[in-house]
Amino acid sequence: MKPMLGMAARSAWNRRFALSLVVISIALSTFLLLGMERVRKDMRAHFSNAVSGTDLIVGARAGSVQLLLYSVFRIGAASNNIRWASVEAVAKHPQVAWAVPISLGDSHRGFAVVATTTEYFGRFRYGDRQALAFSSGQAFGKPFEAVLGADVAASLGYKLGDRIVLAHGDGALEENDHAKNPFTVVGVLARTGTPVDRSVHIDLPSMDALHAEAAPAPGGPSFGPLPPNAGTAPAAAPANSPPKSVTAVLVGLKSRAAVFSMQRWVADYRGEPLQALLPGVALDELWELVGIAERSLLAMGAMVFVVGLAGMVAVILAGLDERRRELAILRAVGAAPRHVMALLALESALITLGGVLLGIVATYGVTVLASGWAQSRFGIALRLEPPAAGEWTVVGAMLAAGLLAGLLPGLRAYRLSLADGLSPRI
Amino acid sequence: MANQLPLVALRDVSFRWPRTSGDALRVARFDLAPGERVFVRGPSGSGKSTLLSLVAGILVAREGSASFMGREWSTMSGARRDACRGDHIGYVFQQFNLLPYLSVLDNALLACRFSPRRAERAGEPKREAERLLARAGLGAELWTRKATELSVGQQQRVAAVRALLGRPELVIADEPTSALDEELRDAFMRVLVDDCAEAGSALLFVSHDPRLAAGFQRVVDIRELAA
Repeated sequence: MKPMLGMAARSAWNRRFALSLVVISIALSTFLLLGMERVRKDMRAHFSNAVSGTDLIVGARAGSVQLLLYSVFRIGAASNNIRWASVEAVAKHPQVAWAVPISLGDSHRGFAVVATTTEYFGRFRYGDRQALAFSSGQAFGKPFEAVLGADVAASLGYKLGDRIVLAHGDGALEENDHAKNPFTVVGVLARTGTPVDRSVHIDLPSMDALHAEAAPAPGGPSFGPLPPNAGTAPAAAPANSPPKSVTAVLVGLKSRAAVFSMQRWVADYRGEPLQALLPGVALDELWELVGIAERSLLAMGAMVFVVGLAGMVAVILAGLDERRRELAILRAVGAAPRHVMALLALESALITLGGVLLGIVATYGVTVLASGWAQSRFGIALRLEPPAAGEWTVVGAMLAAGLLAGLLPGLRAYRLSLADGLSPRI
Repeated sequence: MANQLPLVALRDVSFRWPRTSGDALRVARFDLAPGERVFVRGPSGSGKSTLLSLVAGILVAREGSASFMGREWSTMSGARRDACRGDHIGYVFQQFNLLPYLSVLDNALLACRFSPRRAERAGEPKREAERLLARAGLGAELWTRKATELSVGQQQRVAAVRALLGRPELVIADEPTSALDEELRDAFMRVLVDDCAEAGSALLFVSHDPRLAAGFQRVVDIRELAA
C-alpha cells in the first residue's frame, strides 16, 4: 500500500480545484463540531466555577434553575424578592454558619449591580474554593461606596476614587439614571473568571435608597414636583435600617451533612413560600435542559459532516469515469485491483484528513480571535488548549467515517478495473 | 535460441466476452521465444487487444492453455498474476500511457514502484531511467515536467522507457505508433527495438501497419493463428 499513498496524494493534488470545495465543507463541519464541543466545555467550566463553598441558595419559590441563573449568573428573569424577616430566620437557624443576602435588579452600563453585605467578600468562594481578593482598595464601609469587579473596572476605565452613577432597572432608559446619587469607587476585585468580574457591589441600604428615590414611598406626594431636598446625596443617606427585602441569600452550613434537612426546613418555612437550592444540583438540572439543545446542535454538525462526505464521494465517483485510463495504466504496470481500490480509498482518507486538519486550525484560529469578545461579552474564557478526549473522539470518528466513505469509490474502482483490464471502455 | 522453453505459449485458446455469443479470439498455437521480436499484424476488431490481454494474464482463457515463463496463467490467483505481470512484462498502450499527475521521471519509474524485482534488476532505478530517457532523446529538462506537458511522441517514448526499465522478459506494445506521424514513428520504433535488444527482452508488437515490420524476426497475421 505504501506506493499508493504518495500517488493518492499527487492524484488528489492534481484535481485540487474540484476537491478543495469538498475539503472546505469537511473543514466547516469539523469546525462546527469542535467549536461546539469547545464552547460547551468552556461554558460548563465557566458555570461550574462561578460558585463554590455555598451550600444553599435561598430565594423565592420558582424554578431552581431560574433562581440559580438569576442569583449567581445574573441571567434571565428576575425572581421574586424575599422578606428581610425570612433572611433573619434563615441566618438564625442553628445549622447555618453564615448567610449573605444579595439584592439584584439594577445595573450600571450593562453591568449588574449587586447589593450585599461586607461579609460577601469574606464568604463568597469560586472555582476551587478560592476567596475573593482585592486588586486595589477595600470593601465598602458606608453607603454610596462601590466595589467593582475586574471586568467592570477594566472595560469602563474606572479607578479608585471615581464617582459613578447607578441606574434603576436595566439602565436602558435615560430617565432611570440616578444622577443625584453618585457612588464612589472604593475597591476593585481581582479577576475571578466568574460573573463577579462583571458586577458592581454596593451595600444594601444604598440600594434601598436608590429604589426609594425611583419610586416615592406610598403616602408620599404622588403627583406634583418632588420636594426640593428629595434625593440630594447627604439628605438621602439611608438610615442604617435593614432593607425590606432581598433577592436571595447565600448560605453556608456548619456541616454539609445538614444540607437536605436545611433544604426541607426552608421549603416548610411558614412566613412566605421559599426554596433552597443546592448549586451543584441546580447546575445539573441546567445541563439537562441545555443538553437537549446541545444534542440537536451536535446532530446538525454531524449531518453537515455527512453532507460533506457525500459531496466527497460524489466528486470522486464523478471523476472516476475519466480516470479509467489511469486505472488501466496501473494494472499494466503490475498494480492489482486492490491497489486501485487503495488508491481511491486513500484519496478519500487524505481529503477527509485535510478537511479535518483545516477545521482544527480554524477552530483554534477562531478561539484566539473570539476569546476577547467572549470574555468581555459573556465573561466566558475560551481557552486555547490541546484537544481534550472528547474532541479526539470527534476527530477520530470523522476520520473513520471518511475512510469508510472512501471504500465506496474504492470498490467502484476495483470493479471497473477488473472489468476493464487493460482496455477501458470509455 | 539456446533456451528452447518458450516464454509465451498459447495452445487451443478461445476467449469469449461475458454475455456474448461467438469467440472473440481463437488461437490454435502461438509461441514466443525469450528475446524474440514478433510483429502481429491484423486489422481493427480482429481481437488484437484480446490476444495481448491473454498473453499478459489480464484475461484468462476459458478453454485451452495460456502460459507465461512456463506457468499457466489460469493456475495463478489474481493477485499472483498482477504481481507476475509487474515483474516480467512491460506494456505500451496506443496512447495516454502516462499518469497525468506524475512527473516524466516518476512515470518512467512506475513499474519499479510495484515490482521490487524490476527495481532490483534496474540497478539504481532512477539513474537507469535517466539514462534510458536521455537515450530516447528526452533531455534532463523534461524529467521533472508533468507528463501531460509532453508531446504525444515524447509521451510514447517515456512509455517505452517505462516498459523496459528493469529489463522485463517481455515487452508488449499495442499499436503504440498509431498516434504518431512518420518521423516520430521511426524514432519511437528505433528506441523500442534497440532497448529491447539491449535488455534482452522479447517484444510482442501489434499493429495494422505492415510498414513497421522491418526490424522483427517474425511476422504473424492474427487471422492465421486460429487455424
